[in-house]
Amino acid sequence: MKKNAALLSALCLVFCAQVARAENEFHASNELSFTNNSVTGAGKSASSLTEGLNYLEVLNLYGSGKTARGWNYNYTAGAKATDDLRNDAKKVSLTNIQGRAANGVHTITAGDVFESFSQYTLATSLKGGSYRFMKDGTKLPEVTAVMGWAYPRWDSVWKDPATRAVSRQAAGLRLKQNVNDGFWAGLSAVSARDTGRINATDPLYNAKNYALDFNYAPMPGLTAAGEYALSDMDLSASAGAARTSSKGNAARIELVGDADPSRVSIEYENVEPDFFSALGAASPDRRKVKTKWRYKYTKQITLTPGLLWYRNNLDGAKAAGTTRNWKPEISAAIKKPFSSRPYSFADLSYKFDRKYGAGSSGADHYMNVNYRDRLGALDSDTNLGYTLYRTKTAVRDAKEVNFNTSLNSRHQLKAIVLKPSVNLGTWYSKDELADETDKLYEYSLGLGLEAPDAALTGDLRFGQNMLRKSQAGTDDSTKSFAAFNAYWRPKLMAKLNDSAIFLRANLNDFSFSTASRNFREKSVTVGINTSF
Amino acid sequence: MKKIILILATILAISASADAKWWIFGKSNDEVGLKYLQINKIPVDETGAKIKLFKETLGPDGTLKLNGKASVGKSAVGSIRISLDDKATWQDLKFADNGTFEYQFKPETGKTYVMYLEVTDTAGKTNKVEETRKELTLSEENIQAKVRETLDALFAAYDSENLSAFMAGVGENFAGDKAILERAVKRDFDALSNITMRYAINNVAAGSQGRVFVSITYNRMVFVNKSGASSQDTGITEFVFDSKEGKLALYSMKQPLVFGLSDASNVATGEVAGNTASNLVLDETGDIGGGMQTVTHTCSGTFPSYRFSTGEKSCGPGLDVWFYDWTSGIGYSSPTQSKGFSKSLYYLTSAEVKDLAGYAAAGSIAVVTGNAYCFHLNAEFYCVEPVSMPSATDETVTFKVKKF
Repeated sequence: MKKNAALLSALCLVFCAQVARAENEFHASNELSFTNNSVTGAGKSASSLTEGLNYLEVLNLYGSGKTARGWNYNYTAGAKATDDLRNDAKKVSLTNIQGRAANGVHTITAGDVFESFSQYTLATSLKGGSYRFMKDGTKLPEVTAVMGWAYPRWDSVWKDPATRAVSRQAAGLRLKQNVNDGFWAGLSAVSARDTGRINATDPLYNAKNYALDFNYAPMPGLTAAGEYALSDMDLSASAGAARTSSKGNAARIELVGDADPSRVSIEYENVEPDFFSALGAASPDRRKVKTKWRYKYTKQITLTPGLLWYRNNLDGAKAAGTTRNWKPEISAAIKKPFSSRPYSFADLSYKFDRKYGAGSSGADHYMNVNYRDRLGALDSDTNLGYTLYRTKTAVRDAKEVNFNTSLNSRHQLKAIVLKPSVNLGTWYSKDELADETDKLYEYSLGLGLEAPDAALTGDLRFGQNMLRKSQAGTDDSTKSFAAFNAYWRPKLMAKLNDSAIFLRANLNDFSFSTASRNFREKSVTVGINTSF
Repeated sequence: MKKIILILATILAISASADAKWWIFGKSNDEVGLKYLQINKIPVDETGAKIKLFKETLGPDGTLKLNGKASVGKSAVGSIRISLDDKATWQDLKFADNGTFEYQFKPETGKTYVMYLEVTDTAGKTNKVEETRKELTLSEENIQAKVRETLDALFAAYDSENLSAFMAGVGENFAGDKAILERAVKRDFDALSNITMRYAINNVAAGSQGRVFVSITYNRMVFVNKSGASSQDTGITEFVFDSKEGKLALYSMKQPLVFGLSDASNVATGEVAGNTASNLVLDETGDIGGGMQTVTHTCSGTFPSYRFSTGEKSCGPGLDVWFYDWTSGIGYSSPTQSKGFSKSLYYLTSAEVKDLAGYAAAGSIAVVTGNAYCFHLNAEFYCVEPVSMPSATDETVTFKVKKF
């Protein structure tokens, strides 16, 4: 057994048992797996598998308790070890660590801190700490302060050479006040400052965001929510680029009426091109209007029309001009379209994309019909789609048809359940500009197995995907595949919250018209997961 | 004008035959009911019938808090009761004069609580109790197991090009807009086949409002339908999920994108800090760019050469790099600098490539197939991994190339 995986597993067994005795509550889960991959064939360099034997060990801990002074606390921690660099550039890494303590009014969090302030200000996690004051039953506002670094992983915090990233220091403060029973408003201020450039051209931001957001429910079923945010950003000078500053704003408002038989939503969003949010979620330079109406026309039929419109170039600064998008759609979900078929269900949809401006003009149509039914012992699910792409001038002119159908059934033979399945599919694309045709055919057969007495589940699936191209100089390809998964939960492990021993085996064979591209992948994984 | 009148008349005619009236959104103010109800600060209108909670999303005291307000019109609230065992037993709740109430309890892991709330006014009129039914469960799973289950489902749906299964994992309030993502993923599916993606979780953080932050390392291989070629890339990206009805639903994605490559600028809301690697992008025509490309180039009588920025191929010197046929090496000219790594291009991280230590303007670098060699030119970083080098008898080179 590889050293790192063994160390983490042993840590789990020893440390977890010790802590479990000391805490009010303690849970741990551990999964250790070994994978052996082999890739053969002249085109093996195209494979994304790591050859040879590799391991992956994932450990998670959770505990909670209460101090003598009345503070409740909990903690989580997780770690991962692997020697497959495609799984992770680091052999051993911390995946999460967090501690929280609260006494009913004050909450302190350290480690992985994810305080969602508002969409435009803070919608990501930080490595740092936070404090929250919230006293129920009073008029005092809820106050949240947060400070930390916006790294994508813990290894970046300690500047590991393989995973170091630009250092983004963050701090934020939020006040949230319940004005009355159905109305609250929040004020947020967030600052993000980048340091520690890795490359001379790395952009370093110094950004501040301020936002007011609210939620108002004047009557049951009706809600209004919105946000207005400002940004003030400096982008430091870097190699080849001078220092720049910009200020922008973003606003969104959404009205939702939701009570049978209708759910109606109307959204408006305007994000200026110069709006920048380092820690929030925003699509700059977009003005958007969206409406959707879900209407239960009868007990069997639900209609959902919708319209999405958006445009860019809000400041008119784009030399290419403005691109506008119209995306109307309508769908109908019909239960029992055939009254004699109690399990029948149909879903029909039509979507239209109109995009024009900035030297381009496109009009795409998407039509789709889905039908599900039970035919004797067979459950069927069939999908037929037609897409028409039209982008002027001479950019894209294509029509595509896709068809998929699956049949599944379930048979019980004494204590064993068998679940055979068949999937068939085809995709056809006709490129009118190039006068070329692509066809994809796929099929697969599957067999699922459940043996509750033996605590065994498994499934086997095999099939082929075949791409056939008319264009000279391009390759046809065929992927033949087989996959087998099995999970065994012996009685001893069943006591440990569904712990299991598992086996996964995959075979993928890729063959092309150009034989030098052919390769075959074989992968076998065995593992054990435990939790308590 | 005639068209509009016709459309309106048609809508009215359809509405008249409907079972229910579309314009009725709210309820009468005189009805006995709940003006609002929140479970751990999340409005129940947003949850659905079954609510699965995770230990990590509860407060440190492990309690589940309900707060709400009874609505009884002109009357007064007589009583508010709660049942957590499918109406087997009821418990009276304390409430304020205006009908507001609070209740908290510590749920047991794995147990399902079937909850009902009953509001009665002083005249004895009660609310529609059945409408308050919620099934509450505190999951035995840890949040990371749930994240893996959710990501497995999203990746499996994307790999098998099942649009409806994929969109089932996307939240209604997806920040980049769910309708835009759906079209982009549909275009991805029309442009790509044999999608194979794998991931490993780097970081998980459960936070307020039931949201969960996830950072992953991914690697993928795709076949491009238009060209028949394959392409690969790897990177670190971030997701945020909303927790609804015991499921995690995708709320936002950052660049580099793993889903919706066909409309990346509208689908992604932000970028992973420090991400400057070149990742796969799909253009309007279904052509792919970015990521790791495999290039094969054959010359006759002289060695092959290549320009990184344009993908231009030539024979003999003159472009950014050339592949010697008499020795296993790559040539380049000043001011380009090179740096060698004793591992595959697949395993290189952006940080390693952009660490200027080790770059040299030597004019040529000896290579071993399967290892990566990076070049710093015009403030950009490009790395190649030779698959096969040219020889005096066969002036063909095959190499993988990626921009960082």
